[in-house]
Amino acid sequence: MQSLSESTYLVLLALTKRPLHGYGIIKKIEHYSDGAIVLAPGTLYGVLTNLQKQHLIELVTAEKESRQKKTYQLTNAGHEAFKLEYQRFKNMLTISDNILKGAEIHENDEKV
Amino acid sequence: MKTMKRFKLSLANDIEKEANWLTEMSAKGWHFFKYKWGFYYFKEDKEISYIYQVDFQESTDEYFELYEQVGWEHMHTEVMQFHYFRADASIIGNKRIYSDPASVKGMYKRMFSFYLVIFGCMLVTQIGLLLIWDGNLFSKFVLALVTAVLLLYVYLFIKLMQQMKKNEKLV
Repeated sequence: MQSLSESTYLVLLALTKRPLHGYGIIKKIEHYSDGAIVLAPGTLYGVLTNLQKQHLIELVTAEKESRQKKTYQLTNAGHEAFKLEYQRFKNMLTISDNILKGAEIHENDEKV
Repeated sequence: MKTMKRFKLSLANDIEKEANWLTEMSAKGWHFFKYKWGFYYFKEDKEISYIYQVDFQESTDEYFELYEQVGWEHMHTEVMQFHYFRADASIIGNKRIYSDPASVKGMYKRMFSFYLVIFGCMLVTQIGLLLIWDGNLFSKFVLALVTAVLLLYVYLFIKLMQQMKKNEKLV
């Protein structure tokens, strides 16, 4: 599978625990990044449309305070896609840490 | 309150330029609120200044609700999918409706597909012109007109591809 754009990853991440509506996704990412990442509405809506076409998320209608509210939730395929991408990031970090921490000890290896 | 209208033609690939122009007009106190047949309508108010943005998406109720919740006021929609928004410049700061180049590229890609369908339909309907071709002045006139429109579309496609490429480089 092709690696996901950063915004796409963040949207999947925001939906892992529970379904949210569009504004809820923006607020969640903003909150957990201490305000550093604020997804713009056009970017978010484009990502949501793409993810729906790929069947990674779906729209669900929930009755909330007597009015219909549409929220987005991950499909099984969506959960899988997120896990794959999460693992990919984690591997990159592990490799990065190994190289950054081990650089001086194994310096001689490079001369072989 | 004073209003005025300005005539201006603009192609779809220039929506960023168009939005910048509306923002400049707003900084001078003229605020866009309506578009019809090439005319942009403005209302005067020297007290405020808006940032304008133009988006291209298939809209739903959720779409407009989302934009409103983050502070973008919907002003106008053209050909179903071109949406004009504005926000008070002092409140919205440097936020815009897109926050990464990948999604801007996605917008131009949607536009490309949209016009490609129209272009395809046009080509098919013009086959009729060739079938009834009898070489008279009227046929030649129509052919020249159709060719001009088709060339305009080709120009638009090239420009849209350039926009997609531009936003790819930024990634």
